[in-house]
Amino acid sequence: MSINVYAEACEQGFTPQSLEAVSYAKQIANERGIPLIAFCINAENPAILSQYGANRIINIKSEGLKVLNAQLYAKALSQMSGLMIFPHTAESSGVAVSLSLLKEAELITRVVAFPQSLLPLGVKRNCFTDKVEMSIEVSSEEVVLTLSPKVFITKKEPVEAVLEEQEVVLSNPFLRVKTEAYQERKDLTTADIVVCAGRGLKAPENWQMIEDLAEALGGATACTRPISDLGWRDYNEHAGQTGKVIAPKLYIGVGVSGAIQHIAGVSRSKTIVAINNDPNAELFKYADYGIVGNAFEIVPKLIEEVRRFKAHHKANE
Amino acid sequence: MKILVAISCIPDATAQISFTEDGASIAPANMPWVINPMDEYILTKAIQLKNETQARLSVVSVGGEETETILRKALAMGVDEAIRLNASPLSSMETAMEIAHFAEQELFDLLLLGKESADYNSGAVPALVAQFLQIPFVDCCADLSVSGREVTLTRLLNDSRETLKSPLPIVIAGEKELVSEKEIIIPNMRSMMQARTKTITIKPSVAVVKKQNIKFQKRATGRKGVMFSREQLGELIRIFHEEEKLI
Repeated sequence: MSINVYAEACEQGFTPQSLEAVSYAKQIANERGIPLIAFCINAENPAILSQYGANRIINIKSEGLKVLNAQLYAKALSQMSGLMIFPHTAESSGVAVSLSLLKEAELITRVVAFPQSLLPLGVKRNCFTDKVEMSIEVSSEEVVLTLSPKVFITKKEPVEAVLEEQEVVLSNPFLRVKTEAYQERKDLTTADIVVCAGRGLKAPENWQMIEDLAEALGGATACTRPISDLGWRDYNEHAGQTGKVIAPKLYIGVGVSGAIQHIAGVSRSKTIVAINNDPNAELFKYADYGIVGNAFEIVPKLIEEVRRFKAHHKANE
Repeated sequence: MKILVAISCIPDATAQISFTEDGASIAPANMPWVINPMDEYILTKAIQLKNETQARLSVVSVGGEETETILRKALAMGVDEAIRLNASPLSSMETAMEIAHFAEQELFDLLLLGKESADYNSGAVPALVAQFLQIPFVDCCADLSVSGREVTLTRLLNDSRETLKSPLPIVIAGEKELVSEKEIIIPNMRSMMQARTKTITIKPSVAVVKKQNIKFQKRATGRKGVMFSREQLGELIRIFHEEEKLI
């Protein structure tokens, strides 16, 4: 079974979720002693993928693929065969899904573990917004997997790679009118540290300390659904079942009650810290570390401690 | 114009999920069923479009009798007709096949689905339906308007918002941002009563798919639950650094 991975090109080279997928695919290829084939579309610098273990890199170039169109991308990638691995992102999950049908392959999305075996292929994924684990086994030789972001580690593994460029002509019915980069300073879905605040903060003007704590920790800010519904923060910051599903290394919830819909979006965080003046807040049940108290006293003190630690740490370097 | 919205019936987020003895499926007994939240947003958007363009709006759901409640709710909210595709799908592929087969016969201009269901979280049905029908597909749609035979829409990409124009027909998977919370239609008693006597058309299952071998298991949260006082924040920072290697 040949091992293929798709990597999303972006301004900085490739998206972090793609590099996670490449490392995941490389580990599977290594275990079987076979080369890894990586595909990308309109990449400026496809050779980067050789740093992560891609032995053969196929960069598909096409004017028609300048605007994302899942079906056309899938068509261009239909030369993949065997195990086909994709990052599960806003841009690539649709491509993976379309490809699975095109190839009549089995499809398993949001995978959270390495396969136990390849034939039959058995993997795990989470469902019911991470409350339930699902083990799936399929016996096809053609399988498309999409990987949950921030589950797998990106590893550098430089190899000599063969780079191929392909030109394809495809006509795209989509016409781009405009693009606007997101306003937020840090992307919530890829951030390692997230400071999230809820209604406990009482008013939008109280968010400065949340931004300061996030900045001190080098993280991103998030909010609960009522906050974005009230228009206090942008929808982009909404973490939860109907917002962004995140899995940072550290999640700090400030004045977050812990409604099940919010937990659904943050429960894969590796470490959860809850700060709330209500000792019965649901979030404490999901927390590794909890502090009961007034957020307006605790957060400034926490910022002070983080800054002191960072200054001390820097001085000792 | 003909619009089709596909909605999914899921257990309420607060429901305890239990499994059959062999762990191969979810035990449906006494489950409180609701419209998948993402589908409620797109359904609201569809009703707005229907009112603006005088389109005919149909709603479809794949499932057993449990879906009747949500289909009646959709009728009370203002859709023109409700169809139940009578199947118990075990995969996104099966669900998509049922929807695509129905949509193919009715020739819809606009097919709207929620981005993802909050039960199986596959996020695969909208793209599968589009691929089955060979109709262009747009994911993560946050804004949508229709003018004649053309849609203008905004989608949320990895690092930007992109506005596109596309001809109809098209399959669109919607984000929460499509409508605001206060735009969600809460049917009044009168429309609820009227919806109770409306017809729900039931169509037989058509999908034939290879069965995947599935086993469910509850996930343990395994959290530490250690409490700190405000005097111990320095200690917490030390743990972040030394034990958790977070900073």
